[in-house]
Amino acid sequence: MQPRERVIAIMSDTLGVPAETIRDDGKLADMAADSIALFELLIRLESAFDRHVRYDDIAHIETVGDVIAYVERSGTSPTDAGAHA
Amino acid sequence: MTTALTRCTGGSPQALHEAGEAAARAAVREALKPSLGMVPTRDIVIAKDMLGKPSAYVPGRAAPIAISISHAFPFALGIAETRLGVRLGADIERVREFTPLVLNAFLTPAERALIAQELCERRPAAYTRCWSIKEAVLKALGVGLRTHPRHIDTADALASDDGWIAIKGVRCEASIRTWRVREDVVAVAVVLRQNSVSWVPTDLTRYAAA
Repeated sequence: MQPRERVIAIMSDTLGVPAETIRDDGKLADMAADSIALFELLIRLESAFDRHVRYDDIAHIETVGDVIAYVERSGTSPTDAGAHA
Repeated sequence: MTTALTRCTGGSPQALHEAGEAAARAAVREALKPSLGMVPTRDIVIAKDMLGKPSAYVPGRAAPIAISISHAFPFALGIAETRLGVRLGADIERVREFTPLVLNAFLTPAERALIAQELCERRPAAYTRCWSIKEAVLKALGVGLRTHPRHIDTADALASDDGWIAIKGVRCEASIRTWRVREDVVAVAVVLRQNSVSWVPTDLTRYAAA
């Protein structure tokens, strides 16, 4: 499965949104019921792609397309070691 | 600190946003009553800084008023503080069952041990309160989820509403208020004093080992 399809599948499952309704320009804040759902999405993405998200980068992630782009380009992203120590 | 809770009938993001701002304005009016009397709601301007942290401004007062807003449909919580030198954070959440993945990700070992002492049926509310305190602290700091919630250790504050919170290992004096809005909704307000940070590390062993 391609990264885009995996991201959308995880979003659909975590946020309870039908996959076919998830669009690149959809805003995460509008799709997630609350911050806990957003946090769960974040850690499930980390787990699925076996990499840690730099939490500073979250400021630049607003839409579904931002998440897909982040996952696709962050293969060598350094870990947020302090958070996971 | 003053607080206000509003209900909104619509669940759209815009409706929740408006309910949140209405709650914040109500809290600001209450906070200003002793000094400025009843300020008209339309005179209260809410503006956000570059990080998205809101403040309120009113005519006749140069200094901004610290505010924080949170919502969990159908409720919106607003808090305000006119004293200078404090940081405010509010959070309201629906009590829910957390997945082990989420619990492992946001709880510190000390928090986990404390909540494990609760009766099983009380743990979902205790986990939710712990999350809410962390999120309120992160909002008070103006960073939100840009800082990992596990960097905030609430273990001391979980036992008492006035205690210490460790932020990346640095202890900070905090005042915390918790409400059960309904059986399934927890609301938290946190006040951090900007000058309260104690630069004594909580974990001296790492220095002893160096």
